[in-house]
Amino acid sequence: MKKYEGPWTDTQLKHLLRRTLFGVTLADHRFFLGKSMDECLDILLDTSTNAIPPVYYDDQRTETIKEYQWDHHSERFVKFTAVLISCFMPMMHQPRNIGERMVLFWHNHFVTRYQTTESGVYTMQYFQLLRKFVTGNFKQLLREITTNVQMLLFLDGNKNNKNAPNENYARELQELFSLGKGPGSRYTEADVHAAARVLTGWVVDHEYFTARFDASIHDTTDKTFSSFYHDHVISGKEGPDGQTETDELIEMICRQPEVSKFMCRKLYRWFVNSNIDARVEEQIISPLAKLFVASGYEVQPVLRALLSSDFFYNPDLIGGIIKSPIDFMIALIREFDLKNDPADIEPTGPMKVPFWAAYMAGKMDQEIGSPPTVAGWPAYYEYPLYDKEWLTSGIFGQAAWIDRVTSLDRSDPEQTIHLDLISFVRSLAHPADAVQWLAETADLLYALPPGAEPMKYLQKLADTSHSYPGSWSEVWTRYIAATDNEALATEIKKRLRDIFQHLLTYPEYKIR
Amino acid sequence: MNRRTFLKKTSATLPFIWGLPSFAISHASFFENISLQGPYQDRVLVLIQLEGGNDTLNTIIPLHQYPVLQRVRKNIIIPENKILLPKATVGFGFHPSMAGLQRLYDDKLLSIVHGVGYPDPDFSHFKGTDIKITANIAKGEGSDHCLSGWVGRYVESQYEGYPTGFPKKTGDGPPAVRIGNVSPKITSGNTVDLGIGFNDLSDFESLAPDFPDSPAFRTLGGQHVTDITSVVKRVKHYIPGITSAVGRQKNLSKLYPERKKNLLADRLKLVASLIGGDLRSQIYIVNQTGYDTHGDQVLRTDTTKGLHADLLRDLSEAIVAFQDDLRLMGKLDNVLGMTFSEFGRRIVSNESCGTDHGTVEAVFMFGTRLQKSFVGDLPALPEMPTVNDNMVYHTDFRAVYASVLKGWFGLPEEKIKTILPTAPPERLDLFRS
Repeated sequence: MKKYEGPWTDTQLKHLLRRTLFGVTLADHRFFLGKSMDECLDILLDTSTNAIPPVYYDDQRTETIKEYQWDHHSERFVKFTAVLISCFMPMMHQPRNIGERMVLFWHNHFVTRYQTTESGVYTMQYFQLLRKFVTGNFKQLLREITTNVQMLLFLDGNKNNKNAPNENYARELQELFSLGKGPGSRYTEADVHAAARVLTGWVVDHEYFTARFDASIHDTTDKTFSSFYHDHVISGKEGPDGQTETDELIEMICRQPEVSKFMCRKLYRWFVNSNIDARVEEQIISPLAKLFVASGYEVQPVLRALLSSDFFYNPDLIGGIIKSPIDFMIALIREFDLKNDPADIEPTGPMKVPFWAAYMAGKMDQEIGSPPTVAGWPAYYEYPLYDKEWLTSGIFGQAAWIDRVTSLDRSDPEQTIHLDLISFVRSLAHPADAVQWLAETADLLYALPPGAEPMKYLQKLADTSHSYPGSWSEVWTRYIAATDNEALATEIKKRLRDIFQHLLTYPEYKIR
Repeated sequence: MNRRTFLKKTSATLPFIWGLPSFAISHASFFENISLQGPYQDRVLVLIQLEGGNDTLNTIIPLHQYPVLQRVRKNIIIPENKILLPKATVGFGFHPSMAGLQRLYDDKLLSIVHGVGYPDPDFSHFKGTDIKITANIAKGEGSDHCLSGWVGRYVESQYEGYPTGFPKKTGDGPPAVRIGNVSPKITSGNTVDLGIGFNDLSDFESLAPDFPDSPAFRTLGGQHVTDITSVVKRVKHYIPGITSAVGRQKNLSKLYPERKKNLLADRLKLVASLIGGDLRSQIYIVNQTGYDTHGDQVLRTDTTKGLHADLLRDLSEAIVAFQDDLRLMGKLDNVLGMTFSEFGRRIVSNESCGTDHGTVEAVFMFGTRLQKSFVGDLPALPEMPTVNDNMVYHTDFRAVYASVLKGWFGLPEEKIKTILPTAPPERLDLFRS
């Protein structure tokens, strides 16, 4: 694969950041400015110091979660809180690397749903496992997720036994988690049955929150696979050795080169573009897949190759992904530093912003912790729409959210989540010059430059007075000289509301 | 106020922000913008997607096969004395949760198409769903590449030139409406999605203000910008029609369950007021999720209870309330309902009181113009089914779709062939004229 050797300007840098982080903040931009592509990638791909949120067990768990939750009576909410703590909030507070986007990638790949399990513990364990592997070894993750408690409960692995095999996990293991259903994947129905028999014996020990192998319900007969697996036989084993059959199954599956292709296609769709044509298959997927196999299924080298490829920086692809609801929410939270909103402290506790943001993303069909199907969110697998799926689902929710966070109505404090737009504008280089600061904002927030007409419209809003006359420049300058002047502050706030209601609604803010 | 009261508050406040319509609705012709003629022009089709693959054998229980079922699905079978029997002897009975549908059946307002499937069935939820919504069963290389849904292709043939020039006037409905998380693929035609999808009316509460368009870039991102702009515009065009239709027609039935107790009922309730309020949409699609009952399909202690029983009760109650509502609105004769699911489930149950993916489904149709209540044959079961055995289909699902297009919408065969090119030639005699 050809490495990118073209100019390294703001365009390429922001493209890389938009694809690996959630949105680009002013601080992110300043941090990476002046670094080369390789230096940026060194930082973005190093997830070694990322914090791993703990799993709160039993009483300890209950107490800790209660501090975060509003409604102490809803078990479902406790579980959702677990999702927020172990997935959504870490995304909001993400370090400057690819880790959180990869957690979401694995969540969409190794799908489980938090509603399936009995407690938040399993949800937290599940996210902890994903987070442990972010850019690590795929084969090991595949093995570990196979006997992860949340997964055993979600796809009925715990109900699969020698008397009546339950095929649910065995099927998805091949169809969705490793081989896919592409032209090169030719496992058979008989392989699904055989794999189910290999996997018999895993149960959940709810007392210790762990998976356990129960040899007495394991199928100890030999399992013969189809010619796709070269007629491989996994010989049946008695006693605790039976669990080594699971290891052998994962090894056998990962010996199929199709696994590397399937996973590289998925990574490509996640980071680059949904449409994979013959040229992409040959020029990108094939070499990446070879690299993946050669590295023993290490993900990081594949990501580095992909994100430093000439192809990745093709100008035609910039802005070519429609933001998912979670993309949209997390990016907005980070760009406007909503996580530090003073309104987020009392009376409802630190969960207010994450709760409402995750709730709204759910209303837009991307509920964190709960993809709608075991294949993940349709936007990542459904040909030919792919990310265009979000077009329809996101329209209403995004508008409602923008309306809410820009509103000046503070009558209901529990409802109030608002962007501190004054601070945002103050942090820009030329806040007194509307033409300049609007251009700087668009440059930061948009993956593509908007047209002259929309920008003129925003400039007009900046100069449109509510009750205090004057151009933006005049009013802003006076306000800065007297920030405690109520009338001036209100005027500024109203103009900013008008501007950002439009600015954040433009289609350019919906792509990345 | 906590989260719950907020939810209640927002749902109670209907967003009539566009106000009620000031124009007079002409009832002379319901669908004046489409090409349906004569007796067919006011007709509406409501599809209910049962997501996950419904266990047909515990829904519509074949009585002559009962001994076989007793052997191979011992842990989930409904006790014989709990099966609801229709008045006429028909060789099958209903799951005990479906008293409402059984009554509709007795009143000849429900018909069941038995043994619906297709050759070489697929056991994947996603491929299975794709097959049912695209009506394309091709597999193997390139098979994922059917771009459009059968509903989309049908309405596309009725709304020539869409979206250019549509809606023809304020208040007109979109060609198709999706409520709930129904894939837009089903309403996608060859070039564009002809459906509008939303969860409930609160979705419309705060829509984007209008703004000037950006110039079109010829890059992928530029294309997205153009697409986003046009989708938003299209949706906005239809919102006044949707909200004012609901404003015109309140729900009249008292049979609906409490809000949020039965999501399907909530969705059908919205559909009823859209139909009652004369939104000019021809097809509505709603969904009910949860049919993927690999485990705990029934309670170990009582097989008439559990996940599946709850789903079927919700389905039954939702349909009964919906039909009652339409009747009170005077719209019952105009509406045909039909269910579909990606597949049925395995004959033999598993140890976890559940069933794995299978093949054949039973399709429910409801309305007043049904010809007969029993269509197709009850599927035959092997004498001694093994875990890998599946039912064999009698009726191709594409023939069912084709028969609906022909019998319900009066579509001529040559048009049906373009919409369902691979449908087998037989047509079911489903409707009274």
